[in-house]
This record gives sequence, structure tokens and C-alpha cells, in this order.
Amino acid sequence: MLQGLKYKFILLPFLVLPLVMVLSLSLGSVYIPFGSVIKILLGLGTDDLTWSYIIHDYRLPKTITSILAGGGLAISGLLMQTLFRNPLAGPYVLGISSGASLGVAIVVLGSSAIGGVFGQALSTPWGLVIASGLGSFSVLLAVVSASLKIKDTMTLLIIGLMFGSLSGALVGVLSYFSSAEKLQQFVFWSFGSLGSLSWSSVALLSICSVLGLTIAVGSIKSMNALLLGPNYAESMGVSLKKTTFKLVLATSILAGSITAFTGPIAFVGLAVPHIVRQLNRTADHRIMLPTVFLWGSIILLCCDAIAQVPFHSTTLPINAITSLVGAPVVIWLLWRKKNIMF
Amino acid sequence: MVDVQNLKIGYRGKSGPIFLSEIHDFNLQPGSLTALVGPNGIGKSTLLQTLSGSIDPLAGTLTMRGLVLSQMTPHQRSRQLSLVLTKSQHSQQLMVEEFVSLGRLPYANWVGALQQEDKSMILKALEATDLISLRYKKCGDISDGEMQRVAIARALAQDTPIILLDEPTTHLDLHHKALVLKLLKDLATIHQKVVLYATHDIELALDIVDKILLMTTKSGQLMTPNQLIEEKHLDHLFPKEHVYFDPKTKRFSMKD
Repeated sequence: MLQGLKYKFILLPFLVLPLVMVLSLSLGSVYIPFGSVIKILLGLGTDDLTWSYIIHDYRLPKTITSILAGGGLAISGLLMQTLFRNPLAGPYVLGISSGASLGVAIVVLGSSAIGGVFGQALSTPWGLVIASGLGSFSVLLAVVSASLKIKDTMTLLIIGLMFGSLSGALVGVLSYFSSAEKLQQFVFWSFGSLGSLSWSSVALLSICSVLGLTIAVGSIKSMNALLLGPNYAESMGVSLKKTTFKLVLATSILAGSITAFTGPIAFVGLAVPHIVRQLNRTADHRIMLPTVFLWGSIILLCCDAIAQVPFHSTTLPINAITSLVGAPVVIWLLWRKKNIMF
Repeated sequence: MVDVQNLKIGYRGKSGPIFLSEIHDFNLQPGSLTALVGPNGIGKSTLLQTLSGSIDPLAGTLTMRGLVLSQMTPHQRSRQLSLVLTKSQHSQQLMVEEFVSLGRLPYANWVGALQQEDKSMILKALEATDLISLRYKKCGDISDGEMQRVAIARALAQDTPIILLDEPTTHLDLHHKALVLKLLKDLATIHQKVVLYATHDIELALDIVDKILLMTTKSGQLMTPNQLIEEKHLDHLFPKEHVYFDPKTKRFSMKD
């Protein structure tokens, strides 16, 4: 089934990821020589304790976050595209980012209304994570329960979009009534950030990622059957309801936890599966799942490297960079292919 | 092999079941090619869906190889019957060979890995449908007629004793219609399968099939092509103002 030619594109991301990882660890607002980075990573010690601190407690968690977030978002995009048979579906069509935004908006923009100690506690970083987590989770809970009742994926897609615009509208209303200072705080969250995670947050994100990815791996066979369309899939012993539930659940866990910790990161989930599908020349999920994860990680690491503005102390918002880099790539791909095929 | 008794078909709407048609009894034997004919909206697709187990009958019993259809698990069903659909909403990115290979999923392990036996089955299916030269083409890049053959190859790879096809000859030119029907005939006779296909090409069906399952507003009846002509069933199939059936030529003609 596989010709020799195809393998090189499947192996490529396994080789590229370590390179990009090292690159990402070497870049940052403080210049650390490449040799020292390697030494610190290998535990060989260094003359400068600050460098060691930066690498261990700042850059390493950030690199791991980027790998998990990039890979996880790309995988959720792949799951949604397979489920909805639509190349434009991504993790956010189900209203995940809007739900998260709503949660954060309520906390940030509404905390003045709540006021007092409680309002103060809510606007701490952990408060934000919990709020966006709860926001995306409740939107997804609504979509998951809809998926148990509704068999038609198009209807489900539209319901997800409606939930999305509903929470978007609520965010708009909240923004209108809030102070400039609060609004600024909210806008900063919506820029997305990969670098603010402590090791304990990284651990929590890892657990969520492993959980979501396990469900995805367990659905490989059903997803391959879905490539034939829902009727054939059903005729081959695949339960559509169970599969829909599993895929929506995995996406919720992945995209929900990632958005909670890093803020919304656009484009990765939508475009990476699409690019990888062209590269692999197959839609087989046994090949797609690992390669989409790796390419998602690689692309987010690269975007992060660009956002760092190498050798400069400025950091650009990651959410803008992913779209800025990604959108032209997708346009170019479509330009060349002339049509978008699922 | 396929036994049906007192079957009432229809679907369940909001205000209770909607009855479409009933079939007192029929059975389909291995090695027989059967056409399912009847006017639009009479319930041909519903009957196929009922036979494939994706919707439940309103009443009656349906057994396949001695097993009651409604008591079979989806996995058991997938090894008894395969489908060929006209509108399948499949991924256009799939290669022809991948599309056919997916027919082996009911036999594969949890990730869908294929064994040597599966691979030879897939190759046989591709050979039988004359698709070897197209195997690495994408489904989005081939013609309707070729895609119809791919869909049949997939059902072949699934290697079930029963194959149900929903209008496999629509959108095809006469040459390709004949090609597909010959293929179905071979499936029935050479591979000893039960092949039932819904069609509007009644004239072609009269030339090639063993049995015809005729569905009318009252009920469904299984008979041979000759019986169908001699008992003048085809005269009543359509309203008389525009077409009539000529038993000598076995063709429908338009009235002046």
C-alpha cells in the first residue's frame, strides 16, 4: 500500500522536531551561547546560574508547552475535519475559543462588578485558566450532549457555530460595559501566550494532552472508516454516535485545556492537517495522527521563534504570528492545487 | 440465505410510524442476481436500508443465513452484508486502492492493520473490477463510472455473502451500465453471492437478472423476468398516459 517514496515525508518531522526544539531553547530575550544551552540541557553544569535558571524554569516549560499546544491543536483540527468531512473545520468551529473567551471575559471584565476579595482572586493568572477552562468546557458540554442526540454532523457543526457566536456576542456586551484597563487585560489574554506556564501547569497540560491523544489513537480505525462517508462507516460496524462522541470529547479535552493555558491560538488546528494531508499524500489516520502532531509542534515552535523577534527583547503576540505565517501558506497551497479537497 | 416474512417497511416520523410498503415473503438464494424495481418514492431505498439493518422494519422478520438481522451486532452485520452506494460523501483524498482497502476494516485489528490475506483480497477485488491501472489515483480525480466500479470493488473486498447496491447504474452511459451489470452477474454466479440492486433500468435488468423484486403501491413481489412480462405486471407499473410496455421487444416505449 505504501510506496518507498512516501516514507521520506513521514520520517521528515521526526528529524525536524529535535532541531526546532534546540533552536527554540536557544532563542529568547537573553542571549545564551548555543554551546551553553546544550551543556545545561545535558546537565553538565554552567558558569552562569542565571542561564541555567532561564533554561530550566522559563524556556524548557515554554518549549514543552509549544509542542503540546501545537500538536494538540493540530490533532483536534484533524479530528474535526474527519468528523465533519469538511476541510474548513477546526477545533474552534465547535465554539471552544469563544467559550474560553466568554469565561475569561466574565472573570476579567465582570470582576469589577463582583468586586471585593472574590473579584481580586478571580483575576489572578490561575483564575483566568480556570475561567477559560470552564468557559470552553461548558460550551463543549453543550455540543457533546447535542452530539449524543443529533446524528447529522452538519447540524452539529452549525450548532457549534451558533454557540460560538452566542458567546462571542456576550463577550461583546461585556466589553462594552467595562473599563479601558480591564479591556486591555482581556485583549492581552486574547493575544495568546506560550511562556507563562509553571512546571505544575505544564504537568496538568501534559495529563490532559495524553488523555485526549489516547482517545484519538483509539479512534483511528473508526476515523479511517469515516473517510468512506457515514453510511459506509456504519455498514462496516462503526457506531456513528459513539465515534462522534469520542471525537468531540477528545477535541474538547485537547483544545479546551490548551486554550485554557495558552489563550486562543488561531490557524494551527485548521491548517496543519490540511498541509500534512498534501505532504503525506494519504488520508490514513495511522500515518496522519503522528505526523499531524509533530508538524503542529514544529509549526508552533517556529511561530514562537518568530514571535520572540530573535536578539531583541520584544515579544509579539503568538496568536497574530500563527495567522500571519499560516494564512499565506494555506493560500499558496490552495492556489497551487486550485481546489480544496477533503 | 436472505429470508423475509411479512415485512412492513417505513420510517418513524414525529407523529408515529409512516408506512411505505409491505412484502409478504421472499427469499434470495446464493448465486442469484436480483433487481429491485419500482417507481420513484415507492420505498426502494428504504427497503435496502431496512435490509442493511440501518433502519428497523415496522413489522415482520428478516433473517440472514439463519440469523435474525435485528439481533446481529453491527460487527456481525459487517461480515454478512456490504453496501454499494451512489452518494457516499467519501474523502476525495483517498486513493482508489485505499478506498478498496477500507473494505477490509471489519477484519482488521484495532488500528486497522492489514494482513497478507487482506492484501490478496484487495488485489483480487481490484482485478475483478479492472481497476489495477487506477489504483494509485485519487478518488477525486476519476470519473463517475470508475468511481462506481471502485465502490463495487470495496464491497468485494469486504467479502460478504450478501451485497446490496443502491442504483449502481445511474449516471453511467449504456456501455458502462452493461459493464457494471455484467460484473454484478459474475459476482452472483462465480462468487456465489446474493446480489440485490435497486434500479430504474428495467429493460437492462430484464436481459440479465435471475429475479426481479417488483415494488408497487400495494406490496412487493419476487418473480422471474418472464413471469413479470407474462403476468403483465409492467403494464401497471407506471400511469398509462405517457409510456407503455411492449412484451415482444421487452422494451418500454413512449405513446404518441
